[in-house]
Amino acid sequence: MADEILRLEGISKHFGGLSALQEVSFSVEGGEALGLVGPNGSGKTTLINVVCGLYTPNAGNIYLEGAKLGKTTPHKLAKSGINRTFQVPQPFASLTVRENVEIAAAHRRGDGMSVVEILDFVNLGKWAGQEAGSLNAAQQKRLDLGRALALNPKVLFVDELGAGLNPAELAEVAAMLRSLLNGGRALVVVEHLMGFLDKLVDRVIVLNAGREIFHGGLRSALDDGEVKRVFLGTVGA
Amino acid sequence: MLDSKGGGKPLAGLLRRKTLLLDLLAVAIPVIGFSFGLNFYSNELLLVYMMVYVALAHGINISYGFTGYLPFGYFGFFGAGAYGATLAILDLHVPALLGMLFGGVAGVLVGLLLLPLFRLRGAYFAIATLAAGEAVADIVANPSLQSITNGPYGENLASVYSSGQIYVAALVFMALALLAVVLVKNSRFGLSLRAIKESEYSAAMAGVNVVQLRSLAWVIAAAIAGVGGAIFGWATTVFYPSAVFDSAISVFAIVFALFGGTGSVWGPTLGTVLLYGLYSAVGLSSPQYFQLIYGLAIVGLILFAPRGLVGFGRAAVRRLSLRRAGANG
Amino acid sequence: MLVEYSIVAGVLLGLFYALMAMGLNLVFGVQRIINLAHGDMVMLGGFGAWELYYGYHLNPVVAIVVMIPITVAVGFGLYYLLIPRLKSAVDFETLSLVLFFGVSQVVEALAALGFGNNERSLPVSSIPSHPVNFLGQPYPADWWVAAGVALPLLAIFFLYLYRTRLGRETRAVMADEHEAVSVGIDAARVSAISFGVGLALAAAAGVLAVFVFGGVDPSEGVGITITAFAIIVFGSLGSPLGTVVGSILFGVAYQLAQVYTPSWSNLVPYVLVIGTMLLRPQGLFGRRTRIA
Ligand SMILES: Nc1ncnc2c1ncn2[C@@H]1O[C@H](COP(=O)(O)OP(=O)(O)OP(=O)(O)O)[C@@H](O)[C@H]1O
Ligand SMILES: [Mg+2]
Repeated sequence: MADEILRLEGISKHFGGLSALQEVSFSVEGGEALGLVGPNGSGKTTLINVVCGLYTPNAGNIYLEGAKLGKTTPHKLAKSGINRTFQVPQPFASLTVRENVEIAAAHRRGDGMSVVEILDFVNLGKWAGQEAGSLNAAQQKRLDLGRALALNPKVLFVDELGAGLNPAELAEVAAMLRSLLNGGRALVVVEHLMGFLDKLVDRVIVLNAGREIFHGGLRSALDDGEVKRVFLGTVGA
Repeated sequence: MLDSKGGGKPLAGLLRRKTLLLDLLAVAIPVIGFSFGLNFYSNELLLVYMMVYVALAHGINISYGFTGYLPFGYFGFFGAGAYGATLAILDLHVPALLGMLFGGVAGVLVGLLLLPLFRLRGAYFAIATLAAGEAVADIVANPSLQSITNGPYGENLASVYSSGQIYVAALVFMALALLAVVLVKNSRFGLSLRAIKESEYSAAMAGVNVVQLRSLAWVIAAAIAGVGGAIFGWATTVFYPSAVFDSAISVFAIVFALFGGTGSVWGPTLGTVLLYGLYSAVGLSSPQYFQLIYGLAIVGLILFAPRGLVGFGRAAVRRLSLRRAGANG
Repeated sequence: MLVEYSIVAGVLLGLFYALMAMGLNLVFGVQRIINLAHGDMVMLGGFGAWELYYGYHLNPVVAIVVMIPITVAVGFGLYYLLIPRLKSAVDFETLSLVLFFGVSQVVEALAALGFGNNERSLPVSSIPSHPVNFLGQPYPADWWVAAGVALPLLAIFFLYLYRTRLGRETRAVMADEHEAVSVGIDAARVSAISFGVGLALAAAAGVLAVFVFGGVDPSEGVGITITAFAIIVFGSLGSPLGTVVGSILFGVAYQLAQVYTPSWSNLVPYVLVIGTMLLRPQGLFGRRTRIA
């Protein structure tokens, strides 16, 4: 059995009166890709924001390789091996593509891919000297990914990397993500596109209104009554 | 198309070395210029003030240009520096030159006190520092503190006046401030600051210790203002609290920096020399006309050239080279 | 006794402060701009009253009525001159601050060139001048006049904001500009009018300020802006009612400080604004605007 990388226990997050997350628990193992799905506003991005230190949870605990994460700061989380991409990419627009990755690489503990290797991996080598702000949206998302990879994360959250891509690009991104599982890394993939997930993950968690409503294989999720009801037909997309 | 593996690295290295060289010129030329300044212009005090303002504009450059935090209350550090130095010289009897360092320490202390304001953003941060600067001024000038600061009646440094020392101190100080900017700009520190400015949380997720680096930049800016205030006080000799705690000082420095263009080494220097030059030509005899021109310049700057002279120049060069490229191919 | 005095004086002056700060809050609420030239608009109101009194023998209270339409029109024009261009800037918030600082410099310079650098005051005979007793203690007549003029003006402002169509549209833009535009509101026009109304409120307060502050001079703007900003942050940015309540509490706090520790009383606005921002950034009336 592979080692557990990340475990969440009873994570809740409120915004004023709104419960964005209610007692969400799960764990991911090294080399595993976990899918995180749910309709708009179900709390997927909020979950990433909580794990990656942007928000403090109102309740619950997070464990990285068995050690409980106390109150900490995002940059420490990043250095200790938790990282993410953004649903709306947030490159350092006035820095070059290479500099975007270099900043992160400078804070890596231990070894990993070089900056050049990362740029090649995310297919941005050609644009290395260009300002990141001049990239298109898909490129900016890949840059986010490259920047996260520069810290050689143990667990990586990917927030809707596939949105807006054509089928060929999707297949490419899926292959890219799958190759990231080598070396015992864990992936948590947020995605609306079931076809994309099908190629990538073994297990999914389905969130609705901040609550976990399903946990299991992707195929059986698609057959689950409540999941179907929640998605109201968007499943086919 | 350049191969990123083959050509990318050396080219980038070369580019970097070239910008570093240009940046060092931006230190050397003003320093050399001011060393011979008295040959061109006989008002020594104004030259000292101008050097102080060059340094202050670069303090703003570090704080606003690289980190995006605009300290409207910058004069608070400046005044604290003037008083810190004066008290060290008059009460602790340290030599005047050493007293300038005490000014820097006073500026840094006020800067550290204001660190909690970084919980605020943008315009709120700017105004909160303005209020804090006014508060420091009110405290120093308070009649209840007359036994320490001489309250509203100001200070007198005539006993340690030395025009030669003052000029050299100002020159060295300006050189150090310029060097600090070059170091910041060409280091990973500066790169991280720019990343923080673009997106604080993304920078943190890239492993950057946002709080630490931002505070460091803030402390450098505060130290520059502190020493600047100290030299200003020394050169002015007799000053009231209202002369060193004057919000116009912040605004001068901010506008000089913005006018020249922040984020560069040349910009704030050029901005200061041009605008402060204008001030010495017009402002001293008819301050209202200067204030008018100056106000209009700010409005024009923000509306038409928000990136300053340097940004304006860069855009022009880019447009020219684009046109040339268009003509060739 | 002293406490009672401070409270009554604080309430009287608080109403005046509310008038002084309301325009700043209105402009902030609608456009998310901190108008650093606000205090200079107050200053211009004072000089306007002076000119109207000595040029046309106009009673200062009547002068307010004359100035309102003029200042609304000026603000309307100023908006279209400055803001649309600025809206496209990257760092809109900070740059608008610097821009309005520039405007404030221009206004201050023009005022100094036009009116001279000295403080001017209006003769007390232009308004009733006998101290008025209340609960056995005398208060300067101009405080009563200031409160007595500010109160109806504030009432009219609230009626405008909550009972007229334009006011409703203004509040819609304050709540969410994009939503407002999507239901067919001309946000630019509403913003321009609000800018004018904000200016008119400032000018009206400026007339009263000549009495409350004992005069008017070209350099008083910055201090007034900071005080007004402290008040609107304390009372909650974007909340007109908060400004009124915040002003009154500020007035009382300031009077208490004046009575008990006069030499430190000038610190009140600075402590208030910094303290509020750090401890309760949403202010008294707590609709959370993102400032921290
Ligand atoms: N900072 C915040 N303040 C207040 N409410 C928030 C905040 N962030 C998220 N929310 C709310 O929390 C809920 C969950 O939002 P979240 O962005 O996590 O959804 P999501 O599952 O990622 O949706 P999508 O598929 O559209 O990306 C939403 O109702 C959202 O409005
Ligand atoms: Mg989301």
